Amino acid sequence: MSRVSTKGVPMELGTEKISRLLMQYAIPAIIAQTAASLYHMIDSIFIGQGVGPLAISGLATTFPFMNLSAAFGAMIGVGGATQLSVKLGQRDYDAACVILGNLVTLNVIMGSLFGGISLIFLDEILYFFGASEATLPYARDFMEVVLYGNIITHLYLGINAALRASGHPKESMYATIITVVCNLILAPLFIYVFDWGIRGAALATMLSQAVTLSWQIKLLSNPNELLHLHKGIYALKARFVKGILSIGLSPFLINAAACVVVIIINKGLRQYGDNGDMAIASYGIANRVIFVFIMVILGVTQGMQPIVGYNFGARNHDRVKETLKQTLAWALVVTFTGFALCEGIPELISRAFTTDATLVENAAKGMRISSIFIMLAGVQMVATNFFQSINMVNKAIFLSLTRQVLFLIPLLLILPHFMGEDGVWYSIPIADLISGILAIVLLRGQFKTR
Amino acid sequence: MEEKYIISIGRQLGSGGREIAAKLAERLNINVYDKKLLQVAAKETGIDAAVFENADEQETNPFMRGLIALKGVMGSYGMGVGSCMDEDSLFEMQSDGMRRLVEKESCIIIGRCAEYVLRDHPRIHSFFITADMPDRVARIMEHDGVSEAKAKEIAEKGDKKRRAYHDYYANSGWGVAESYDLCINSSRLGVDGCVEVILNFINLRR
Repeated sequence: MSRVSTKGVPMELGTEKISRLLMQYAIPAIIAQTAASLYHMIDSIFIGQGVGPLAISGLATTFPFMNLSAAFGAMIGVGGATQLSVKLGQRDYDAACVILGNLVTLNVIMGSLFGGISLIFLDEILYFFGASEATLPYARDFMEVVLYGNIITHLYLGINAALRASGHPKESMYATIITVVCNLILAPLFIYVFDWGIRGAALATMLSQAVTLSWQIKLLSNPNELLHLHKGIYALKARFVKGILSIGLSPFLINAAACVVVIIINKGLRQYGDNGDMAIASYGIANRVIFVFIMVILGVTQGMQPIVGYNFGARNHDRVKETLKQTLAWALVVTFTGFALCEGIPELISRAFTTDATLVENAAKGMRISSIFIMLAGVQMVATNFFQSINMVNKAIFLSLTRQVLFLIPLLLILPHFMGEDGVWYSIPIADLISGILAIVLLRGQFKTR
Repeated sequence: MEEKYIISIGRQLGSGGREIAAKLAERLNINVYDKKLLQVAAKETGIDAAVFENADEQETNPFMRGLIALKGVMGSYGMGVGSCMDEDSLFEMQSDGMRRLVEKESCIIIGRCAEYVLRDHPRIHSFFITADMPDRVARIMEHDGVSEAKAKEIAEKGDKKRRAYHDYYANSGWGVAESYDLCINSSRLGVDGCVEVILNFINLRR
């Protein structure tokens, strides 16, 4: 029997105790979000300790690549999964299977195009993303493996989105965890035992994704499942392709914006840093650490969404308010922890990544500066998701763009002229500050009008 | 006990579909559900009817839809529950309401992709009503008290919205012959003529 989610009416959202609901919805989301970001952090630690500080710098210049690849993945993943869940909701399994097949085909096409084109212009692109002659070999070694396996990554992410949409949220979570665990076993083996360097780290990632992908395919090949892979679903249908691409456009743009931001940061650090490579490596470390806390918040806010959404729809405003309050409390606890760690013991954290004294010092400075207003960033993320769950999409988009794009990019372009390398670092907390204040103003406005 | 049956009526704005449905309902002594369906869904789910109305037969910009879905799909592990407020969740709740409704009574359902949602029902009769543009414009002018130009604009916009809404949710084209049992142009037979054709069709299928 297929366990396609027939959502029905989640009545418990209107009656059950809010603290319990938040737990129930947020914990799985937090696990999933944190697993991937923790993995990235640990991978960087292996690379930093096992290969060296220049390797971390090289790795940081591949971040925009990863963002861009994720952008194409999100385009097809979100577009496909959205249409898939509509058809599954209508129990139209024939159409759902064709959408799944089209999603696979599109991922293969997109994955090979992206991988192929990037391989041809790899060096030029990496220089553009902030690599130097010293760090380019590391970045190139890493990206070559990643790009050859690009189809695997795209299929893995795309099918995971489909699994989630088709009522297998647990399996999709296991898939993430399998990948992370595989990686944690293979990466040290390849780096320390086989001495394959940064290439080994990339290979570990690809192999782990391949293992998980084969498990996903096995899951979806079961003919007893109503939604399964079979012959005749892979030929592209204009109707579905058009739907997938038009819905996927905005997720693509948001991810592409993230890519642009990282490029500007890397370029700023290269231009204004005393030692460009070390400055970029510092960003690589600080970014990985702070990202973990950001992803935990993202998990919390995702847990909040259905609770706020339902109760807002049911005009149960006290419960909406209470949910928002409790989510904010969670977010503040998490971000305060991040704040305390990054301000208190950044040297200790940096030393986990590298033994290089200059890099430790530089990364610690970066961590200290960029986490100053992380608590406000937490508030901003809660507000963004809050507006999204009450279907005020315009406000949600505007808010989410403020911190990461609208305020950050101009700051990144202006501040370094006056403050040098520090200007790049200070742009991050200043964008957090302004967007955090804006979020608070918008939230207060929302509750005053009623 | 006689088995329940459903008549689904899709229609172009100003084609007289609603009038036809009302007359049919009178002849057959059953209920018509259009917007009323939303109230049924609202009552069942506890969600305010106005929330359903906002999403009803509207065209959602795919750009916006992608943004709404971005976090929900790529990141969410919230056990199969969407944000509950997005159009897709509302449509699903409304479809569930529709399915339960037709278990209880025979009825006429106007629009809302009923012919697709209920496509597996053994006794669904689906119709699509069209009319020539001048007739549609005249009907809209009379109903809304607007100018001819305005009426034409309303008709065209209405078609666009309904097509986008239908084709996003259903796996078939809006107003395309193969999506329905029978398509009728009310300009040829008039409202009463259409009612007779539909009644005859249903009788012949028995």
